[in-house]
Amino acid sequence: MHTMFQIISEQFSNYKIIRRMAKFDDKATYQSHYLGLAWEFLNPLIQIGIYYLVFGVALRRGDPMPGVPYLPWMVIGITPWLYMSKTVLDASKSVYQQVNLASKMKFPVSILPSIKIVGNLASFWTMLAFSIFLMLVNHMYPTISWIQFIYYFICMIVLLYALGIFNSTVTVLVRDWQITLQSILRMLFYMSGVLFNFATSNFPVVLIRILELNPFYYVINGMRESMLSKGWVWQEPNLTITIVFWMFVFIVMTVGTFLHNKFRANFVDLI
Amino acid sequence: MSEDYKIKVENVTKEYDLYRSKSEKLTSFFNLTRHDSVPHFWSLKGISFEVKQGEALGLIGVNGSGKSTISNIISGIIPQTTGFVDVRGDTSIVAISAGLKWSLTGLENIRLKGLMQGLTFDEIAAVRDDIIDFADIGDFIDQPVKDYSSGMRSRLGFAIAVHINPDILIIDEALSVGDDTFYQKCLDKIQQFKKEGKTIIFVSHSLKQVEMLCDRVAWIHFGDLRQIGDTKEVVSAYRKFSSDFKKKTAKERDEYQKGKKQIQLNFDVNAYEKEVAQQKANDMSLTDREAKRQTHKLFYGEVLPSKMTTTSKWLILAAVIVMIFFAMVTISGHSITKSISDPSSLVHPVYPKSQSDKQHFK
Repeated sequence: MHTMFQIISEQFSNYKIIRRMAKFDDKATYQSHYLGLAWEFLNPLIQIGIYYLVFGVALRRGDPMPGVPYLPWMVIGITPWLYMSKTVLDASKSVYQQVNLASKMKFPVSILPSIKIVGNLASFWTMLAFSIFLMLVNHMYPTISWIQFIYYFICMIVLLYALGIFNSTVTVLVRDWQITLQSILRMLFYMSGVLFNFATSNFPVVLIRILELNPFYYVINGMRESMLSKGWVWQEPNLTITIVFWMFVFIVMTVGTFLHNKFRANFVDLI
Repeated sequence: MSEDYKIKVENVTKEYDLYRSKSEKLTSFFNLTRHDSVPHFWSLKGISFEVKQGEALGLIGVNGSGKSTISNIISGIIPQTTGFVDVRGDTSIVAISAGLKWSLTGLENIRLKGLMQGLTFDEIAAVRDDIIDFADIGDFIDQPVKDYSSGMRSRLGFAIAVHINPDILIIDEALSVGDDTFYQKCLDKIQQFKKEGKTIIFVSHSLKQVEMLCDRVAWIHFGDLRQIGDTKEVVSAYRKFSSDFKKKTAKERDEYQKGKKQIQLNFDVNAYEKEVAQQKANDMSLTDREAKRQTHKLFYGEVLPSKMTTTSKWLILAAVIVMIFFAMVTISGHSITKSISDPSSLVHPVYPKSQSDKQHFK
């Protein structure tokens, strides 16, 4: 428990280093590309275009919430999803990639996942601006319900850090974990209601409820509900899912920080 | 012991787990509680010393005696297993493998290392030219480090470490790679550091270098601090030991080393703690209990536990139970109050009657 608070407080005390290194990372990644940072936005836009054509136009099976056109509904959901899936993968590699450097100097290794979380935020904000633009075009305007977005944003960051510290530690020891994670995320993409709303589909009720327990769904659905003004955190079934979500985060965070601290000293020997 | 120190280590030990196979590593990894079947090696068996501001301390000893371990602990790279370490100021360590990223260029390495040490972009830009100049790399600065010669790499590593302006400089055998010109440059820089009143820890096998640079020397011998004091005194004692050791037959030498290593394998940290407590009780005329309590605090007060505490385990278990309960509440579709008053209802899910209504807008 003490370990967890220690590691979390390290994130705040080293905030400046995190921000600067995220900036450096961004520059380094795209410096050899002609279009540079534009790729961070071109990539998701192309993806959205494909999904819109397949699910929104060709299949006409998006089943969004009542009264909401498919495109803004999908984009608001896919924005946090693309951010989360990229960050989960990046963060799981973060320690493995930097360990040779970090083990030669005094450096708080526990901030490596945070650097990825902060670094990927740039494209998240741009995508969010794009989804708000789409909403305004479709005559959906800001309401008081948007306040909830702040809460769900915090949920997302905390979830990503908990997963990040856990996955990055496990990846150092078991390299296969990285590949496993990729497959899990690919599967979760279809099970988190990003492209079609399974809550209004023909799925059996029990299956829908099981799918709702998925923490990624909690964040995606929460952001959608707050942006589209369709529900509140304390309403059923959100309340019980909220508790499940936070318990999940707590468990992953405690175990993750514990493992991280236990193996922090021998990361180098473990590779 | 006085209070005006720059670095203080007290009763520091360091334990390494010697995994024999990959599966042993894995079991230890996922075992949250203990890992006792694995043999332990005590690289440090309780070391205490102080370094004052502006002092240059040399660390000498045979290979594998724990010199690098203690310098890594002081620089904050690895945590100690037990004991108290207080370092007042920023440290910077220079080791043989300079800790550079091979795929990045020299310039990017300067930036990255500077950022990791907490410098801002402006501060890095200010020292950048000095670093390039000192390392004498010239046009190679925009080439990836993997194309450098080993001398260039270690020069760059040294240059970065001394230019990020640390209070405490730790040099771990880094001077043995460069040529004479660079060696002289480093010596000048180190002398300049000393003049500025900065603290230096110098790990080396070269007794000549140690004699030239250090005010005091600590001799680490198979995990123990064998002697600490004036440079002349300790170095001559170490020279005598070395020459005596060389005179022995190969078999005797081998046996001596094996014996010492066996002691490091068999070291019992709890017995050591008792010993320290006993001594404390005698020296400071404390009650046994008070001495024990103080010693335990000294040993484990700073160290994050490597075993999960009982409270944490219970909290995690409670969290798992709460999570499963509410997951089942969600799946069964009952209200929370009903689920608490009648838990058996959790296994009988209810289905909303409006299920068919839900589908009308597709």
